[in-house]
Amino acid sequence: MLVADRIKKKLEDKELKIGKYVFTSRLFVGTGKYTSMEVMAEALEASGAEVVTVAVRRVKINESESLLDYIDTKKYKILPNTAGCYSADEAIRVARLARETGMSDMIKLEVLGDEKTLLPDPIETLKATTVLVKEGFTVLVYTSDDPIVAKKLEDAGATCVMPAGAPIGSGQGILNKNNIRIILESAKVPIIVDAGVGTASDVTMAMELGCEGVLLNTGIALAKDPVRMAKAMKLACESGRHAYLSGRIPKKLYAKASSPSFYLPVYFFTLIKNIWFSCCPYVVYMCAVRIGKHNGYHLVRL
Amino acid sequence: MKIILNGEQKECPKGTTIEKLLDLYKIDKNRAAVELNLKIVPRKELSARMLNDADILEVVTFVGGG
Repeated sequence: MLVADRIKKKLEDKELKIGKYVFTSRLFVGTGKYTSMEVMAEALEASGAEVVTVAVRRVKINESESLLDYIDTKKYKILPNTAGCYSADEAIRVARLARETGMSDMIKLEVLGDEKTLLPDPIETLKATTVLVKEGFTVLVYTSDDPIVAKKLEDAGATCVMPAGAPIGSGQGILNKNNIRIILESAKVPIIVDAGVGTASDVTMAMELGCEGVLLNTGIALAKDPVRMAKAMKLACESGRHAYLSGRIPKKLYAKASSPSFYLPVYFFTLIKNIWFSCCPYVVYMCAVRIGKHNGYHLVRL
Repeated sequence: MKIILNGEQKECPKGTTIEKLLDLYKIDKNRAAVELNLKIVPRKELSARMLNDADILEVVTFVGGG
């Protein structure tokens, strides 16, 4: 077996399972806020994502261009969201409509509390989760990073729980790593960080913590070069995943040299100098004791 | 007869099915979901379901979102 083949085998990763769906890529990307559909299509390609989120809105009459002209639904799994819903009933209605398009029974459930913070409303979110699970949806539920709420959503039957790293579109990264850790500790469903990602290192951090994936939109769409940022996010996601699987070293306070300290090819003079300097205080002290004794003094040993 | 399509009042002849209405407004039914008077119309029934006067129709599709 060639080295390259051996490495390839060692670097294999298990697939991401979301209910009945299986994905290789762990990066989910949104389709909103792009300057043009062409840029969006290129960014999706560069991100390597297999799941793309979309919003459900009224058809604009007499408008010919459609988002779906730019998304190959054979290549990408459509994940409709319930963005813009502020109650369980609204979200359930949107979810049912989304499924009726016949493109996906997955739903990214988000029920928000208010327009200013766009933070999730946990009570309405839980209500909607319970109903949609009963109706057979594959529910990927957006929530805050509260471990208790995350647990309750899991218990309500959510296929996947998606805590926010930071508020939607804020680009602040993962504000409370400890909460994400606590969520991960007890979760039996995939945990995907959704929202708040600003740059590649945020994605890496989420993956290093042990999240199963990351969902983001604004971080790519509003970057100066969205296509390159999409690529960066892809690499970051893979890096973080590999780092997590590798098992990082523990953090230590003091340095530990990476190179051996013996058999160093130093000059003879340097060697003597080093030996002299390292035993200098002892030699001086011993000399002082000897001279002192010789002259009839007894120095007190330190 | 008059119907309300996505919040706008529209005229359509009697006996129009939902599918015909979608064709009339060049809406791709394969990419849309329809709600008639707040009840979802299953895709299979689009060609059979007749519209009545004052029906309220919501037709949605997917747009960019995160």
